[in-house]
Amino acid sequence: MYQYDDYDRRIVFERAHQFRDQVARRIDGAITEEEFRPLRLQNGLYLQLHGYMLRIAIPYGLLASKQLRMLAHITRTYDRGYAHFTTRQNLQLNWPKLADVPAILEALASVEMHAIQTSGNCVRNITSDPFAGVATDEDVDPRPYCEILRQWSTFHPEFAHLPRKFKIAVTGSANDRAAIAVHDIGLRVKRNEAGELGFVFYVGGGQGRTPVLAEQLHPFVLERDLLGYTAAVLRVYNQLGRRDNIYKARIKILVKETGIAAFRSLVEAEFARIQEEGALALDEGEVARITKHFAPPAYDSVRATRDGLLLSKDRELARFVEGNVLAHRTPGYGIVQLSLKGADLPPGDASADQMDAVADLADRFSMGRIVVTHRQNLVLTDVRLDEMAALHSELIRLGLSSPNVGRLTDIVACPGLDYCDLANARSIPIAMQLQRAFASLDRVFDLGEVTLNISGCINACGHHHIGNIGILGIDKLGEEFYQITVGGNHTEDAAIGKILGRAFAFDEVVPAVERLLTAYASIRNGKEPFLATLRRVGAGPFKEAVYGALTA
Amino acid sequence: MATTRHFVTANRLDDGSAVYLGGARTWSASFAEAAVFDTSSSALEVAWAKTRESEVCGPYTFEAEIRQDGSMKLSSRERLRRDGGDAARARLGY
Repeated sequence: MYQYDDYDRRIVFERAHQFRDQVARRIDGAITEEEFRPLRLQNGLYLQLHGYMLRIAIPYGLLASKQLRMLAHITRTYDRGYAHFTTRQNLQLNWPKLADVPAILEALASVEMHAIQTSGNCVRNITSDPFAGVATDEDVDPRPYCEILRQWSTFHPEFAHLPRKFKIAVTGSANDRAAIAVHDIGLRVKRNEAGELGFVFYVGGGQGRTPVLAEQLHPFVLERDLLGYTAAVLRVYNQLGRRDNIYKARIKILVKETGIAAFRSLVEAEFARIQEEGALALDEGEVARITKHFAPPAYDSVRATRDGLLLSKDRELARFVEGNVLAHRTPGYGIVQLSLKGADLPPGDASADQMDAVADLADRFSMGRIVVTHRQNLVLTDVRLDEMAALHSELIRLGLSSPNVGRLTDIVACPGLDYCDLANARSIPIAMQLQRAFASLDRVFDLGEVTLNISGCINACGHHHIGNIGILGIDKLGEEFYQITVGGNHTEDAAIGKILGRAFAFDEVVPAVERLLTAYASIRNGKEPFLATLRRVGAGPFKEAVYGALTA
Repeated sequence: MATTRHFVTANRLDDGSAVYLGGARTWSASFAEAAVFDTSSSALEVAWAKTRESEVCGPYTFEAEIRQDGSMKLSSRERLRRDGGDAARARLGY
């Protein structure tokens, strides 16, 4: 994985030291909250319902074991012993004290991490496929390009004050595991027929109050023009994006209002100017230097197979492999997903002890690397299949062996009104009630592949728009209510879910989901996935089941 | 008939926890010690609170409905905020 050079190291330490001074000046009254607020937000420090929240960047979700150990140490020392992995592959601390944050940033800098640009109207953490580099269906490893974009966009002076935040995701596979359709820029890196590397550019996707799927902006931008074309998009957005209304400030609104064809013309004109300048063309040597950091490790020759494990007499292990272990591009290895979705901790939360333990497991079983997914799970990317039983035993001990990945109880949820200042309703208790209602693994496996996402407000941090079943918390006269959507999807076949009907009160949500899934089980064909059944029969039968005789 | 009362709240500077403005212009973590204001006086108190930046940040006013039986109706948000971070964690069972 990428290692900081002297320049990288210097800028993150300098930023931490600067913030130490800024915090001291805020505490002693030398600067006002109005002056301090943009400074703290530039360092990922938010003020939430009950305390400060620090959002730590995990570029494209990739962590070295020593970084995860440091996150555990920080969580234990400066917080309350647990932290929250987010849908943008980041980590959030829920309870840091203001005076401790500079020390946290210095601790992060010591392991090549930071919280820079995890807030504000700038280019945020670049996200990617959690199976990058090991997926069997991958055409090109997207991580070097994520890293190039990360370095280019970090502290970029021209794009530090965009109309609104800007999110970029990159995938290197036809099977999209990075949800590129709901990003401001979504990139699909691949080779064309001539064997050249390049990017399909999608633009204007997003969730929030106005969910939109990205449109194709360019069918193939050559590798050397990655930064030039991205800069062209950002320049057009920076100049024309709306700054008068926060709800209309994202690039998706600009693309919709301009029309994709006219928007494309503007970008092409800007790109032509950038090409004339020539400064942003990617240098082959630089691409090679970055790519070298992501070279495949030396794999052993391993005879075990995934099919063999599926036939294991240890049925718990077989089910774990079926649910959570995917084929690896190197025979004898598997990609292991660790579910952070159980009855004991809210979705995406991990305790400091669990983080330490996973770091140890990564060293012992997976070449010291861990990846965070946008579905709030962790991945050990390089596990020998002949060591799977040993790993599984350790995961059972740690409470991380649930084989529910991709199934109903693999619930994605934002922190909601238990923590978040923006939320209208709680997300986590709904998720935990659903965990209890669907505690039977047999039932969860019978229901097959179905995603369920919960957001506590329309900002959609829980990605409810792209859950097969989405739950959205809303405020009705000061009380928590919840809308249910169906039909969303986060993959290459992306779709925005549609609202099923009237909203439910807090206690009505889980029974409504029960009715929805009971209806699904009764009308599906064989093992037909939820989304396929919905697309075949439409929302009518589901609406009928959920609302019965009530007027939806 | 229900009546509306106003309260002034903010986040403590050092840890961001919720605090409420009491009668003697002191901040308390306990909502029970919060002073009751009418619309205009609560706005004045928020303006005053903005001058106390070494203690708190983000002061604002919120309403509660006092029912005829004397009970108080708060919004979900203010109810959860009043109960505090420890309560959130306890409520979630971890």
